[in-house]
Amino acid sequence: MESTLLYTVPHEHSFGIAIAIYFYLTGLSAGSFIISTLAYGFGFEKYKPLGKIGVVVATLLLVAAPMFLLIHSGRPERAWHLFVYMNGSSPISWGSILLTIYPINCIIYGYFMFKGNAKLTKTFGLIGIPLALSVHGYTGFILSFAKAHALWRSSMMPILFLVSALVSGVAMMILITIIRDKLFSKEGKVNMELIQGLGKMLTWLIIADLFLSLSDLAVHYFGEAESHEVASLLLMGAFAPLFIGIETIFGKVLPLILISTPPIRSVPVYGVASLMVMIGIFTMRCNMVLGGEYIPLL
Amino acid sequence: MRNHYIPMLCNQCKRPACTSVCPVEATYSLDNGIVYIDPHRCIGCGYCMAACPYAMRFLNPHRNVAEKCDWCWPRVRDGQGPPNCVANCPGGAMVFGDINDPSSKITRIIASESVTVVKPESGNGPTVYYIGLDDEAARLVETEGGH
Repeated sequence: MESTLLYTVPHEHSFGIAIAIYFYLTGLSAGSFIISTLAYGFGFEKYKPLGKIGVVVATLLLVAAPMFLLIHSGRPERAWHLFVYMNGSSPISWGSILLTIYPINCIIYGYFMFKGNAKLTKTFGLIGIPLALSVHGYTGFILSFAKAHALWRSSMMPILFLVSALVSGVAMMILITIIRDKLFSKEGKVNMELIQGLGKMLTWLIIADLFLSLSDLAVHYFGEAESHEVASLLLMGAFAPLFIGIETIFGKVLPLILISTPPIRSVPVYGVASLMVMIGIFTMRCNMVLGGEYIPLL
Repeated sequence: MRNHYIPMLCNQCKRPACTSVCPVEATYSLDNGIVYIDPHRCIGCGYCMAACPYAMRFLNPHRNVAEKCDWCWPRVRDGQGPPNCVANCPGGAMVFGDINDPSSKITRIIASESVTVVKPESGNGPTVYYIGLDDEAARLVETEGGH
C-alpha cells in the first residue's frame, strides 16, 4: 500500500559538510604520519624520503582540521568549554585531548627528525602511532555513538574510518612524491622504487577498504528496517551516484585496476589513480556524514 | 486516506543518548528525570541532535545552542501547573505526573491501561506513554521515516 506521511516536525541535519571535511583532513593527517614513521620509527629505509614531508603535512593538516569544527559549531567562542567540562562518555571529549596531544607530539617528533636525533625521533614516532590511530579512530566513534542513525550505529565505523584514512593518506603521499620529484628535484626524476612500494601498500589497503565498506552495507541491507532503508539509499537511492559511482567505482575499483595492472603502471597512472582515490575517500566521508542523516527519523 | 495524530514530546528518556554524548555536559537529567539543557554551557556542536532517535532537538537559530521540549520545566518548578500542552488540552487527553509516586494519577493509568512508547528498541527508556497508539501509525513512524 502506498503511504504518504506528512509531518509538522522539521528535519534538521546535525552534522554537515564541515564535519565531513574535518573527518577527511584528520584521516589524511593520520595516514601521512604513519607513512612518515615507516622509515624513522620502523627502519624501512626505502621510505626515508617521506619522513620529513610526512610529518610536516600531518602537522599542518591537523592544525587545519579543527577549524572546520569551529566553523560547524554554533558557538565557536565557547570552544574552551571542551577542555573545562569533559564527559568521558562523549567521543568529542576524547577528541579534545587527542587533538591537543597529537599535534604536539607531531611537532616534537618533527623537531628531532630535523635535528638529526635518530633515537628520540624513533621514540616520538612510535608514541605517535597510537595517537595517530586514535585521532582518526575516534572520529568513527563519534558517528557510532550517535545511535539514532542506522548507518552510524555500527562498530564498523572506527575500523572503516581508519582503513580509509590510510588509503587516502598513502594516495596523498604518492601524489606528493610525484609532485616533489618532478618539480622540486634537480633531475626531475621520480623515485620509482618509492612509488611502487606505496602503490603496493595502496593496493592492499583499497582491497581491505572495499571489503569493509561492502560488508558493512551488505549487513545493513539485510538488517532491520532502518538499516535496510539507509543501505537502499546508498545502493540504489539518492546517494547511489555518489556511493556506487564516485566512491566505489571511480575512487576504489578503477584506481585498483590502474595500479595493479603491470603493463600500464607508470608515473602518470599512479598520479591519476591517487587523485581518484583521494576524491573517492572525500566522497566516502560525505556519504557517511550526509547520507547517515538523510532519512528523517520521524 | 487515514489520519493519525501522534503528539511528539521529548521523551525525557531514562537512559538518554543525548546526554551521554554531550562533550561539555551541558545537557543532563534532573533528579526528577527531566532532561535539561544549560544554554550557557552548550557549544552548539549538534552531537545531541545526532544522537536523539526522536529528532526532538534543534539548534535555536538565534542563540545557536541546542533546545528541546523540557515539559515546561521552569513552569512546573515554579508550581504554575502542568506543562502547557497538558494544561491546554481541551479534551484532557494528556496526563502529567510522577511515575515514581504509586498514588499519582499517571501511575494508576499506566498500571491499568494498555500503554506503549515510541521506538522502545532505541534503548533510551522513553517516558512518554501513549494509550491506544495506532499500531500502524507507530510502525510507520518507525520504519517509513517521512516518505
